[in-house]
Amino acid sequence: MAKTLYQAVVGIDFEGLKPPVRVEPGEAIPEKASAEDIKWLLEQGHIKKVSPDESESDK
Amino acid sequence: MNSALLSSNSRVMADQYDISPFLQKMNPIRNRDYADCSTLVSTSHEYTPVLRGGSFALEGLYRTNQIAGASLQDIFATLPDTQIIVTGYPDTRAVGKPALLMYADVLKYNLDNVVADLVKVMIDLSSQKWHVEHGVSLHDLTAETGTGNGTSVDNGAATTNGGVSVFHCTAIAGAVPSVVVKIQHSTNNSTWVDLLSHTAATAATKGRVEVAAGTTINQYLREVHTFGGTTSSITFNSAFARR
Repeated sequence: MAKTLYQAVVGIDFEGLKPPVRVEPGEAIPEKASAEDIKWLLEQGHIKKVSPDESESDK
Repeated sequence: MNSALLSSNSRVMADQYDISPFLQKMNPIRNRDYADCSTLVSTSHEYTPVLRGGSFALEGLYRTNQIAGASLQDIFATLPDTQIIVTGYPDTRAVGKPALLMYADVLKYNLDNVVADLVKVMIDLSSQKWHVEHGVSLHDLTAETGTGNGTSVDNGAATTNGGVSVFHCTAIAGAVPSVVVKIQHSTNNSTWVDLLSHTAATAATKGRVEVAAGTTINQYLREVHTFGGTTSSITFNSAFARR
């Protein structure tokens, strides 16, 4: 089954990742982002689910 | 132990100026009206708290020399038609220290000339809507020489009614300087989301950005400064007040 893809709505700094990752609006969320981060980022509308053809990796 | 605070720790910013070197007194007031709700059956007056209000009074020395970029006279005497971004700090501007924010109209500029004394200045400020808001410093008035972020401030819990950020840039240097100051928030002090961005500073300037009512502001806040152009340094102070 294809992995769920997420896209940033606002700029996000993932400082807990090694190395830290900065994601600008419209860019894909790193796959190694934690499920907890994904959950609250989604809840607050800071990221959104996208279909594979909308994702940054397909551009 | 006596932990009383010395007023020598207090500082005041007004737009792109640090006006602390001119001042002898900062008097921020937050107040609330009290409405009489007594009725025929009351046995004594009964009151209910209603609208909040506030004001900011400043007293200082009249000086024509410009030790902070502009004198009190330069900033306030014309009773400007546009609001001044005033931020008071009772206990230094260090990150996490309390900040008192006002989007201020100048209501009075009063000189006091008395024989055998220094000429004094009294200034009364008020705000059209948000009176004096209680916040925290997110960046001391210090110089930065490259892109980076400030220490985070833990509010203990998230809030859900937006807020306001202020930015006072007293100096910026470089061939073609440009620095963007943003405020970020976080639930875990590790993953940071952009909350707001001030207009890029290309000269000494100021900024005030409101976050809409109903917006969640997460538990942790910090400031991020991003250098662009050919900037060698920027000296600025920023603060944020939750609503």
